[in-house]
Amino acid sequence: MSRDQAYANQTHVPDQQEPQTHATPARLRTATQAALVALAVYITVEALSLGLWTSFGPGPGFFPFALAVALGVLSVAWFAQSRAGRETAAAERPDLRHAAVVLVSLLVLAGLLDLLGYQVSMFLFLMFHLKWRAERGWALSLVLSVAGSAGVFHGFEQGLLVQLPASAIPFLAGLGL
Amino acid sequence: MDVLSELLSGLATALTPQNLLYAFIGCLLGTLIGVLPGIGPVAGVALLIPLTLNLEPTSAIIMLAAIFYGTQYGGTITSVLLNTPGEAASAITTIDGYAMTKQGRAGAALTIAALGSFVGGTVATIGLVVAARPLGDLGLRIGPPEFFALMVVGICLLVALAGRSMTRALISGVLGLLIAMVGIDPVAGAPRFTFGSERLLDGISFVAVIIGLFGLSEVLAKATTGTSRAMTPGLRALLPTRTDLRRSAPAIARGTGIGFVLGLIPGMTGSVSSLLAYGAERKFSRHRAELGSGAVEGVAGPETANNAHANGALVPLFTLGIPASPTIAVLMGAFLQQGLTPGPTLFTEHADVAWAIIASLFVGNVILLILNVPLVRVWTAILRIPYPVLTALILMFMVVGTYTINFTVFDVFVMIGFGLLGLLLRRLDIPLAPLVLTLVLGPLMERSLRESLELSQGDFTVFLTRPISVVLLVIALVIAASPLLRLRKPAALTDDPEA
Amino acid sequence: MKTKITAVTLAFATALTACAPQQTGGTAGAWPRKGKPITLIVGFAPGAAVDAAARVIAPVLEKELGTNVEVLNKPGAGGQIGYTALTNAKPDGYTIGATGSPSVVVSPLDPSRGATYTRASFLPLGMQVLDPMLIGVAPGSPYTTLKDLIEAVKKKPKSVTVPTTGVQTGEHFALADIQQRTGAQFAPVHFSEGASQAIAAFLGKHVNAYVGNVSDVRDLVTQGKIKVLGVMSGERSPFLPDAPTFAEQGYQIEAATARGYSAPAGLPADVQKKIESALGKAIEDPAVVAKLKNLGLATVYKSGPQYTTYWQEQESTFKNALPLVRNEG
Repeated sequence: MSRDQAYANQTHVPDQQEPQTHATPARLRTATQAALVALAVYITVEALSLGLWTSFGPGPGFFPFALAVALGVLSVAWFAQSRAGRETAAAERPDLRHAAVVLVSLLVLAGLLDLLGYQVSMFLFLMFHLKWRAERGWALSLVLSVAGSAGVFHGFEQGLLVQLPASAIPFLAGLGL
Repeated sequence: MDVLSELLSGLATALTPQNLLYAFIGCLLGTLIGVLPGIGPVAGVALLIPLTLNLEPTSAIIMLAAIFYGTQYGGTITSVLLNTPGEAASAITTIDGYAMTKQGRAGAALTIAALGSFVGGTVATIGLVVAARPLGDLGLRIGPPEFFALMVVGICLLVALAGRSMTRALISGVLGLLIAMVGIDPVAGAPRFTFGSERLLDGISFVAVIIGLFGLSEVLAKATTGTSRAMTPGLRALLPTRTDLRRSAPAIARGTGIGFVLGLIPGMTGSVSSLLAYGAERKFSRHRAELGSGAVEGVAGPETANNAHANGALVPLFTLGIPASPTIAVLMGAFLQQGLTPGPTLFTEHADVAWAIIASLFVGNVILLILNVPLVRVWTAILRIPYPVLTALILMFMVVGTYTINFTVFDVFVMIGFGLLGLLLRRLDIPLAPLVLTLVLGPLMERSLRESLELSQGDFTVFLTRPISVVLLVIALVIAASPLLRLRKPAALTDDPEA
Repeated sequence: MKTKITAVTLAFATALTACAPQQTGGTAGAWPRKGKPITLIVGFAPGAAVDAAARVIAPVLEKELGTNVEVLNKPGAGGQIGYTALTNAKPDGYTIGATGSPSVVVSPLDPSRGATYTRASFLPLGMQVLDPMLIGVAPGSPYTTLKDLIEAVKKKPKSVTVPTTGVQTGEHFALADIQQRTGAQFAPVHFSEGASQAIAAFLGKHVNAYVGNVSDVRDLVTQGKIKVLGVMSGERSPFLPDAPTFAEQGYQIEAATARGYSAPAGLPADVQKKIESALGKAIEDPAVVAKLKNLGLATVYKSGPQYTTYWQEQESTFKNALPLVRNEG
């Protein structure tokens, strides 16, 4: 659960964006600014409990504390700037459907990696992207998927002594997957 | 003259057909391994050590040095072609390298990277030959306060990485520093911001972060529906143009200087060199306005610095016995294995071996160049794959790459999370480069700050009473204040699309 | 087009298999699985004795076990980051680590460090070396004897800075011991990544004196870059025959760093047996012993169970001394 927790409030935002505007995503921006301020407050509290100063010198909380203060000030400054209308137009709007499909497929792949093993899950992942997303022919999709799953797995294992995950299901593991 | 004759006899040893063959094989294998996802120079060299165990000392170390050069260059190839850095040091190359690829100039980028690496490595090796001893002492003069001041200079280069808004660039920088805080406090040992998770005690994996932030967020941001993108390079674009070469020259010179000097300092990593070299280009290059959108300087500077750093780092190894980076440590392991103790005694007790190794560094650099320039064509062929298909393969590449960092799926989730964060930051027009810069500098900065204050027993004036540190802080101040001093930025800089 | 793509893929696949390194030997048993590398975690930056000893022993272990052994540096927090990684690893024999006392013994005893491991989280596999502590100064230093230095520090507490390899490491304890017995209070600067950083700080004259292990300075003594004032051992070190001991100069202080190798607790019995015997053979291998001697390290082999007992003894010794090196902030 990395900093994901801290970002949790932000990461929901892209899905519910205002429709069809190519201008600056104002609501997304305000939400991010609020989240950054919240993050700064959280880190300040954490840093204080870690200890700012010890008998050896600066403590574990010293640096994070300074950073949290900086983050708070900067976020407020950013907010003030955007209120003052000093913002320029933002970057091009991403294709959210495409982004969501890629993200979900990656999350599913990562979730299945330890369960089904690398070979099965990567095969499914590649087939999905090649056959259905990229709309390639069966032959090419199959060849590439097998190469990317079983081929990479064995290449890494034999050639590089690097072990990619094997399946946790005994039946599949027994088949060498 | 004495030095020259010893070097020549070293060259004679290094240039036997047998040693040349080892150097060649090492370079080739190293490049292949370096191209594979997740395997950076350290792991790559460690992986291939068994190959060298049964060779005689000189050959073994020559081969290892060649492997090392190769893996490092391999990482550059994926950065430029696939926007997926294989290791920290080539992360920053993705920005302009991949932008060049999108313009169909991948071949030029790779050739320039090889050229820059060659120049940086060779000049640094000359420095090692000519003035190892005084240079080693110079590195030692950088104590904790000077180290901290140097980090402040680095952080100030952040202003050069800002796109349209300084505020947002600074926010990005602070976020990078905060991400670097996660894990066990490197001084006193207390866990920080780990949310009780055991996996986070080790910190957040740098490679997972940069693959997510740069590679994945790029894939997420680009709609690929239907038409394939025209990225196929024309044959002519394989080689850099005369303009490319002319523009790269100052960048290569700056990169060599930065990389070599930083390489002398024990405890500095190669990624700091490449990041600062990029920052320097953004600040001082005549074409700074184009950086970020496929300027050749953005590849030449960091790639040169990276290699110059690697060779500069051999100075503390040879003069003090202190390996300045993990890769050098692997090399040192090979020394120990062969019964050689790195340090000044190496030159007195095993002068022949020491000089043969230095000579082989020259040879390795030459081989890297003559091997990789023809291979550029082979690598760029990857781009002939239609973009939607390539996307699928890149995603596979990134998953394998992040998984193999620590062999946990957790890192894959981290990579996905940072891909999403990268998308958000791009959407909000918050530049990504400052985050990467501070993520690298953060831990070094915190450690040196705390060491300095222990040294002075809590007295902050320690940074102002030592000459080198004062000079560095003044430089930092000038860099930080420069946007204010220069009343108008070059017009093109104000609408820098990506930073 | 299609054929081209297939060709590229094929090229990739061949590249993958073509660069297969030659494998050495390989046992038939269940562990280690042929081709699966063993990671040896070192909790300090490359370059100092812990790291060097691990790099010397790795290839011998490789031969004994028939699979690759890779040294991985995880420096920081005086070894704690490496120890955390080691104890968090799966106890399957594919991860082992270098463990050094006192750092590994003490870090879990101080609650403020928030260590996630205790002594029970480690399975000691074997001890390799005992490396005595010493104190030294740069050649031009105003202090020419141990007495000079200690008296000067007594007169003006915290006037002399010395490097350690981290909070509550061997150096830090040695300093506390000196303070307790003589009243001289040094000012420690914690270089929590390990001895290579501490040595660099000493050579750059950023600290006034050096406290560290015999192996750190052996090479520096021959180059005339350090004058050893006193070694904290019962008798003179064979590597520094000209350096007097603390006892010779009237200070009854002994301190040393003990270094060995451990696995995360919970290793299957057969794996433990295999790895312990391979490690024992590797440590006592004459070539390894000779290479360590080159580095200024005297091999003192203790088997797994002996090392466990030693660890327990160390724990009770250091428990008493802990208040001296606790952070009181």
